[in-house]
Amino acid sequence: MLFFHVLSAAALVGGLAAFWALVLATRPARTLLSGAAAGSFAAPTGAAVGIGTAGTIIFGVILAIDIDGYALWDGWILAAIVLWAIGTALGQRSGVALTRAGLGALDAAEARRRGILLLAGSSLATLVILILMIWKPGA
Amino acid sequence: VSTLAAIRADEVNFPLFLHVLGAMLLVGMLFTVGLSILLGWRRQDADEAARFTRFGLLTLFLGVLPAYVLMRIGAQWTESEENLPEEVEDSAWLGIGYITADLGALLILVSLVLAAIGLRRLRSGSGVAFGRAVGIIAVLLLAAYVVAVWAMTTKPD
Repeated sequence: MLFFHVLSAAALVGGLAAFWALVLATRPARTLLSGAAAGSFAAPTGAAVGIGTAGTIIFGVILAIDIDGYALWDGWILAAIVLWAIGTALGQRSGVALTRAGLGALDAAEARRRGILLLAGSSLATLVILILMIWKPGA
Repeated sequence: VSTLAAIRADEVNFPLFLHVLGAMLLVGMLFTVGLSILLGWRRQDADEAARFTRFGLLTLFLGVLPAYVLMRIGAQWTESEENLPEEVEDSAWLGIGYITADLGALLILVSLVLAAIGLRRLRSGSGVAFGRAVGIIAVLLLAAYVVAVWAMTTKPD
């Protein structure tokens, strides 16, 4: 169960890192990939993030219930669940904004800026979850 | 599972964080290299194929290499802080970790050489074959690191 939880976390963190690489590759000043090409990269990457997002919470909750000494209402686990929800919501909105930017909408520059900010928020939430998982404050 | 619940010494947490973060970023960057080169491989348009290949090869230098260094330094630092007993030092799960890390270093080094040649040749319209070789290595490494994650989390012996 721990294997699937950590593998899901790797898919989530790795997928977010892949999106950052895509953001760099589609910089307006030095575009490496076109909007359509970026879209074909984003689809499987989004799937990896989706699988990672679902897997971390499902296997994480099972682990919290299964392991003696941990409970779902432990402060660090509750904090991680709240951050997971925030990170997921920000990530989804980021995907919508960056897709809009990639499609060349009239407000593409604003959509890109907004998408990057939301992606940063989602990445930060995920990073704090990783810190909670390692340090387990209060456990 | 009881290993997860075990309380670690505080000084292990930071190096372990670096190791885990580095490993997860490494997985993401290898995924990026493999996927972009695969997408370029399937493109009919030569210019678009070259752009995907360039993206993959640049990611190797700017993403895979730093992530590997972070993962490897974190691993060594964690091990030195944990003062593991000899039976753990000789365990299969730690051995699998070292084999995948060291073999991975060798394959990443080979990939970097191939990528450098590929990036140079892409400027003159060739070099896609070097990119494809790097893509295949990235996918193999990704599979090896899934095995490493399995060994680290299940600790088979």
